[in-house]
Amino acid sequence: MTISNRLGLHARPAARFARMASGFRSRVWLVRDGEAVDGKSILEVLTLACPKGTRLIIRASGPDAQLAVDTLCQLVTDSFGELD
Amino acid sequence: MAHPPENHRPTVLKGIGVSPGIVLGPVFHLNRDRLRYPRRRIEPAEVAPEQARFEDAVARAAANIEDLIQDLPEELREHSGILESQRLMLKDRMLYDRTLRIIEEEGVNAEWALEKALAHVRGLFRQIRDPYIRDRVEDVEYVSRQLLRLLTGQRETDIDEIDEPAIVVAHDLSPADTTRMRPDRILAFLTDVGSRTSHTAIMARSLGIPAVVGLENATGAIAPGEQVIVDGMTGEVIVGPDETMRRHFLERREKCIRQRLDFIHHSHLPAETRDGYRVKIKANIELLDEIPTVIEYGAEGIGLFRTEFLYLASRSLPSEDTLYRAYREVAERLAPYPVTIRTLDIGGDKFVSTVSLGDEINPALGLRATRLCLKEPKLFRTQLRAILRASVHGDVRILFPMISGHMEILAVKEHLEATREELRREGVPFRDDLPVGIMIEVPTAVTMADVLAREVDFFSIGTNDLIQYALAIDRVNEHVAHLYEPLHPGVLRLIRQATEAAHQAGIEVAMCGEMAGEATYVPVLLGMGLDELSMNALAIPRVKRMIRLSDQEACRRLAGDLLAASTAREVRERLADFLDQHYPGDFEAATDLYTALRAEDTAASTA
Repeated sequence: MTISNRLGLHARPAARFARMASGFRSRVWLVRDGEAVDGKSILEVLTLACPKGTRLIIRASGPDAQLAVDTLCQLVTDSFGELD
Repeated sequence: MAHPPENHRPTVLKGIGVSPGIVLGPVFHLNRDRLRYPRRRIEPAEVAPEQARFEDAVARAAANIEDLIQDLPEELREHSGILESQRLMLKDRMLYDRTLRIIEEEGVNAEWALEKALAHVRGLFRQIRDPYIRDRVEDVEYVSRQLLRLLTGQRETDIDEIDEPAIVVAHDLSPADTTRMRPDRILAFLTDVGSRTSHTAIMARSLGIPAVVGLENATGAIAPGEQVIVDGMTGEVIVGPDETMRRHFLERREKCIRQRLDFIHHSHLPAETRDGYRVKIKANIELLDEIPTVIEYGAEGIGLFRTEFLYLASRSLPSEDTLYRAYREVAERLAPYPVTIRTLDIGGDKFVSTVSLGDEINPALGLRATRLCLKEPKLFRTQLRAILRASVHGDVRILFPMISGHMEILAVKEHLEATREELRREGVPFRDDLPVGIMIEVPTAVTMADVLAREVDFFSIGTNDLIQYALAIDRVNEHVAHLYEPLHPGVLRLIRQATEAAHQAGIEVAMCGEMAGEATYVPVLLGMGLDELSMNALAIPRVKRMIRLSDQEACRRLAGDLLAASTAREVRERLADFLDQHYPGDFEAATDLYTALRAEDTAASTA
């Protein structure tokens, strides 16, 4: 996945990501350059520091892992629904 | 209300003006940093009650934020994301779970545990390179302060306590603070910290409240109740102004208000001189969030879209799709107005970490802009593909910087044609007749302008570099930077020559440097016959106004006069006289020039 919204994974997109991730029962990780953080934690997602153009891997394990990965990938692809 | 001492002398503080407007009023201190709380060890039996106390504070803070979101006025609705992310932070495991764990494992009270958890988060944010994301630590700090306040039961002064119009002074303001600021009560706000991109600055602008941030010690230097004058444009704050200063500032304020009203009324009128000479006014932008201002201030398109930020913002080179999406967005949002996209202009004083450039002794004369693109065809082609793909979504034009001669423009066009061919083969749509322009910023591009004009659809004069190269001054070199002079007659002659060559070839000529946005220079540029001026959006209303007050015939005579001058000083004097004569209501323009003349005199007498 590549972060494509202008300001990168800043507060609002990080909030959307963490909130959406929290909706799944599976554990969700966001991985960049081999560093993995808890996708359900807005602070961990923020401190992963992903400016625009960052390449990320979304990983999940648990009962709804596939759905979680698909949904979250879609969120990133859609630039978090951000128009700016 | 406390009064300043009788023999108080006015003090001037200088910060970063982030939201324009001039106001005078009493100061109200919003205490945000005086929280005191105990640090104590707790017994194992106290762990559970202490944790419960913390959980309760979090629940109450979350409810407060929830209320704020509900009560958000319509014009701030789009900022609710900030509050939403603060709400999530409250329950975030880095803050919430960690605090609970520290209470238990280290046997400390909730306030202390929270402070420890916060220190950890701060440390992580400090390592972030991206300034925009790094600044989000402000939100974490704010959330933590709310929690400490609830835990200790200490009240901070509240914005709602302000019952008469006042200027708010605080160490820092949170987005939540600013959402509660009512423009009828808050005249302005001043903070010790902050930057142009902080949420508070952005929100101040959307609320239309003047603001100065980064004052370093406004909280210490200004006493509660003291009168201050705030200029949200220049970042100047005058504490305890005397009578003269008050009068002066009130006059400026009145003028400011009148101008602003005038701007709003007239910013959408065409920029046309009294004798019917129509100039296109466009905006220079770098970031996509400048687009609303561009439209509000009456630009007829974007004359210079700098594309470097996409490269500066990422660790790796941006992909074609990333570029395409950004270009497409600008094209779509500006349609039907045109958007001129400048290809990558890095090197020299502009660096991009993802493109490795060797150290150069004299980077201003080195491998930069189009030269770099020609040396790195892959980098160049990716960008050309993205621009061509975006061209079907609006009126896109392409602009190549730093062309110094015929061979370069041929090479550039070859790449463009090859890219078109590639897209054609792939069946990717693009606009075939996309206008191609070059920036005129190297003196040889001026002397060869007649030849170059046959190769392209338009010129855009980049004054910043043209002046630098014409006068052989590296702007980054502090020893010579003061010699930089837009009104040098030699510079004016170059502008004239490029303009004439373009017009003879039947193409349009724009100017997109700083010079284009200076209202003072408007008569000169009108007189030279430029077809388009592109500038920082905020400069547009004033420049448009100058144009509407102008008479092109008179400007043409002035230009002839100035071109015959032998020194910059002579040019400035003649221009100042012209401004006095032709724009009697607008002394500011002439004053600017007189100030420059005075500065020059001082420089000469100390030399």
